[in-house]
Amino acid sequence: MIAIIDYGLGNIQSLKNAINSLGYNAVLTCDRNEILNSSKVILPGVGAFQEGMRNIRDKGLVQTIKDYSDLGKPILGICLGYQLMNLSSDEFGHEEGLGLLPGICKKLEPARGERLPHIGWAPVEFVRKSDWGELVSGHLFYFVHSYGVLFDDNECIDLGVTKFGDREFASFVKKNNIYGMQFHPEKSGEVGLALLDNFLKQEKK
Amino acid sequence: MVKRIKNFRVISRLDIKNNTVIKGIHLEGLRKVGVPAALAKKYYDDSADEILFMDAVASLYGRNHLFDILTETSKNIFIPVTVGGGLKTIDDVRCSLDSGADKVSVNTGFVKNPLLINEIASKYGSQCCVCSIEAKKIANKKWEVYIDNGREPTGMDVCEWVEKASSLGIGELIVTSIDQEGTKKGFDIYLYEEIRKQTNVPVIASGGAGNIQHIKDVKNAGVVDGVALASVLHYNLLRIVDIKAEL
Repeated sequence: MIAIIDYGLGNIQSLKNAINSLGYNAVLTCDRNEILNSSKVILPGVGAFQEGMRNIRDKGLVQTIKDYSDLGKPILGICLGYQLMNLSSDEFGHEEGLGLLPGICKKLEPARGERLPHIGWAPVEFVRKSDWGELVSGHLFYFVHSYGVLFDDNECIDLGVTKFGDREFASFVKKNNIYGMQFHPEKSGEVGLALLDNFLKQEKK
Repeated sequence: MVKRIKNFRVISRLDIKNNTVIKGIHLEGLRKVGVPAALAKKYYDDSADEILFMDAVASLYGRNHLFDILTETSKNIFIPVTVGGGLKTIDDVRCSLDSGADKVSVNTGFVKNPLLINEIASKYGSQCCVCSIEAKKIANKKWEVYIDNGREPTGMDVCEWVEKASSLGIGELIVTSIDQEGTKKGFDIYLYEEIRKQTNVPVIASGGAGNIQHIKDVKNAGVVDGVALASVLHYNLLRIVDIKAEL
């Protein structure tokens, strides 16, 4: 079973549509047992970090998400969902995240005519050779965000970055069973669907 | 292969009345042009970067009637979908997202209640929150804000409103020139130049595209981040794939 975590935020219907079109079904749930028994979990995201963490805490999901991840089964965070999986964010004040990934969310700093929020299609470049890099190479994906994830150390991480301002933020991350995408694969046309499909095919390590 | 352009989006705009896509000139005199789901899918296949659904009569009836159309249409559209028309409350945003929208566009709702911008942005994020502005020229470099789908003047200056909305946390602006809308005579580039001086959020130009040169001109002006097209697409004057090939 594929579980989409219900924490009151996210473009849920869009995500379900994409998953359904790939021939799978997903269940929107905040039930601990359902989540722990799922074969895949997705943490969706359209929203604000502080509100997102507050909802996750209020629904008692923090430990459940960490426990699921410890089982080694695949978990994917999309956009805000991906940001929440990291250590912290500066959005609306300092807020601690789930800590599944070692990144910090920082406000993007536009340069040279760039706008904020970052909205539109942009490439993702892998820092070293990767199977995931092959799927992503040469395509643009849809981003809509004002904060980006930065990693100090990217050892043991499959990492794809996107340039904004004078920095590169982490736009695709895979660390063991934990996946993060800053862009919306469910909204990036056929290339996004292919990426989502690849995640849905992953098995527990 | 679908072409995407970094930093510039080609958006297909569908104005809807009675479950039909309609098109007018200066936001009135409406003609039926097709079925929402069929047209949205056609433009998605034609490499549209986003789809924008506007409920053309929502303000008249006091609410947005697009949720059913959204649910049906969004099943096969894997690019961002924005919905607008008559959205007034945080619940409307929830309903929109639950129906398949990824962003909401609000005009009258924000003009009448500017604090709604902050309310939506703090819960759903500013990037979900598009401020739609209908601008009518009243003097040299001066435009007035209209609401209720171009029917009602507000006495407000567009540039002042842009500055205020930006400070309240809007994530994006879609600005329709009422004067150019439906005429196919080109965008009001002066309008977008003045607006760019007031804000650094993404701005989408809407209203006036008649040929590829119009789109090139507004892109080259460097002040907008995309265009919303209606007449040129609905009347089969241009295909998105051909437009992108020239940009």
